[in-house]
Order: sequence, then structure tokens, then C-alpha cells
Amino acid sequence: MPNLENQIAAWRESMAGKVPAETIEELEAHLRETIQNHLRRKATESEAFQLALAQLGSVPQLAGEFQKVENNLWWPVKAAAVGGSFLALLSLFFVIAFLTSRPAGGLLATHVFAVTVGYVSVLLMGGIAVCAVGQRAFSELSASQSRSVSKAFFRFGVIASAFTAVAIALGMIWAKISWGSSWSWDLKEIGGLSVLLWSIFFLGAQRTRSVSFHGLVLYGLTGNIIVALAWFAPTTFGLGNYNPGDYIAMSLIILPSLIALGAGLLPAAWLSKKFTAE
Amino acid sequence: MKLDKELVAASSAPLILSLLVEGDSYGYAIIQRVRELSGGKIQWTDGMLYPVLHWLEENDQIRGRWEKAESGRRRRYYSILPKGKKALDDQREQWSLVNATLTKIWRPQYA
Repeated sequence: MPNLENQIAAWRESMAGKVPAETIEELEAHLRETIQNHLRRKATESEAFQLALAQLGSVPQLAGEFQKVENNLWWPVKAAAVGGSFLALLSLFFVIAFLTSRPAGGLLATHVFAVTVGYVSVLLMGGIAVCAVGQRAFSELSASQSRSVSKAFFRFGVIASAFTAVAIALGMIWAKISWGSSWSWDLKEIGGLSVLLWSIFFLGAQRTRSVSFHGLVLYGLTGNIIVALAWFAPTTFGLGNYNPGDYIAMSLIILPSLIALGAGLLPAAWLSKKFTAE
Repeated sequence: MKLDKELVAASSAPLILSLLVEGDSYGYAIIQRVRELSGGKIQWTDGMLYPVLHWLEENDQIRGRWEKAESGRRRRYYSILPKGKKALDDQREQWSLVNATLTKIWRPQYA
């Protein structure tokens, strides 16, 4: 017959991954108090456990209820998720269309797709960071908004790191085949490497909690600048075909990011006073 | 008498906020207090309380903190925040309005 601790451990295991670890700890504390209550009424350990479990609710029922709370996303995060998915699908469509007409260009097309997804992910993080700084001018972000932003930062950060790393690797293979050298420290390569390092440092800072939430928001804004330079500076400054649109795109990303960075460095109380004063 | 599921759900947030106005508390104690005050007539599935607590916390109406209980294990205590007090005032007005309206309608019928 399983003892009480084993039964609780099995229950904890069944909850793992369905709700956050802290919530499991909170529910376990509740479960234990209910069990103690039943034990005081002379129930056996097994009976007390079953009764307490019935009172607490089934695992799917609990997980479903917590899911409703967890899925409460801040609107800029929702917009970034929807916009990002749409852009990724659109890029994929172009890659497939390109491969249909030129099957030999698969390596380059996949490289371009990976670069696009990686860089856009960083830009979406930067976009969310701009909204977070904007919101701060009126009131501090609520706990749910901050949590929502942190989750989005992590997910987009992982996508950015993975896709940029793949893009760099494919770019190196393509360069070796086409030009005989896999790395030549040109502006595009340096840009790609900068974005990769930026996203790895971002994830590291977030996971180790070595930077505050506001610090991560400001760091997120710098991602916009890095990507804008990595993407558009090479053509603007003479590498590849010059396109005046690139200069405009670069300015349109960098300028608002610098303004937001400046606003983000101002004290929240002063900002809020300025924007909410009648 | 058993309360309808919808009524239990609708009353959970104001009940929790009202109890937290009396002082900080934790999940198990909140459930016991509701049971005691309702004479055992309001029966929550215990686990259903926590999503409501977390929702209130997400919306900055209450704040949770971990403290060590007598057993040595951690227990999460909740306290009400100004936004929660304001939400409770709004809820109190709404429930009072519903109560007053229903009382007026039902009075002649049951007199």
C-alpha cells in the first residue's frame, strides 16, 4: 500500500508541467492541511489523501482553470505573436515559391528565411519593449503585463538565437561553396554575429536574473538598433546593391528606439507625472 | 440548499477580497472561513480558489508572499492592495443593488 508521502509525490508529478512549480507548492500546502484535517477525524492516511484530493479537484480540472489565468496576454504581446506568425508564414511561402522556380538555390533561400525569422524576432522583442516603455509613461506595468512581456522575450529570444545561428551556419556553407571562404568579416557577417551574440546575452541575462525587468526592456530596445544595422547598414554603406529604402528603414527603426531608450532611462515617477498631469 | 455554480463563481472574488480586508490570509484558511461564515452552504472545490487568487494577483488587486508555516513548510499569504479595495467597493455597490432590487420584487410575493 503506498504511503502518504509517495501518494503526494505522485500527485506532484502528475501536476508537473501543467501549472507553474510555485503553484504546485501552494496547492501541495493546501492538500497537506486538508489531509491533516481528515487525519484528525480518524481517517486512515489513504482515505485522508483521497478525500483531500477530491476536495482539491482533479488534475485536468485544475490545469484548465490555471490555463485561463496564464493565457492572459498583454495586447502588444498578442499583436507581436500574431504579426510574427504571419510574417514567418509569408517568408516560408516566398522560400517555397523560390525553390519551385530555382531548386538549386535551396541553401541561399533557407539562409534568407532563417535570417528573416531571426531578425524579425529581435525586432518584435524591441517592439514590445517600446510599448513597455510607452506604458511606463502612464503607469507601471502590472504583474500580469510584466509576466506576459517576460514570457514573450524568452520565446522570441530563443527563436532569434536558433534561427540566427542556423542562418549564419548556412551562410558560411554557401560562402564556402560560392566564394571559397566561409568567413571574411564583412559587414553582413559581423551583423549576423552581433545579432546572435545579442540574443544569447539577452537569454543569459534573463535566465540568470542578473538584469532587472526594466533593464531587460532597455536591452530589448538595443536589439532594434543592432538588427537595423545588421540588416540595412551593409547595403547603405556600400556592400551589395545600394537601395535608398534601406536607409529609410534603418532610420525608421533606430530613431524611435533611441527615443524610447531615452524615455526608458528617465525616472518612472517623473515620466508618469508629465504624462498624466491634467 | 446548494448554490448555483454561476453564483459561486461570481461571488468568489468579492468573498476573497472581503476576507482579505479583515487581514492577510492563505488559501486553506480562506476556504475554512467561507465555509464557517456560510454555515457550510457555500462549498468551493478547494482547487478552484487558487485560480481566482492568482487572477486577482495578476490584476494587482491582491499580493501574495511566501512565509514559513508552523509545520516548517512554506505557505503563500495574500494581502489586499488599494486596487483590490476599490474593486471590492464597486462589487459591494453592485451586490447591494441586486440584493435591494430582488428584495423589493420578492417582498409582496412572500409577505
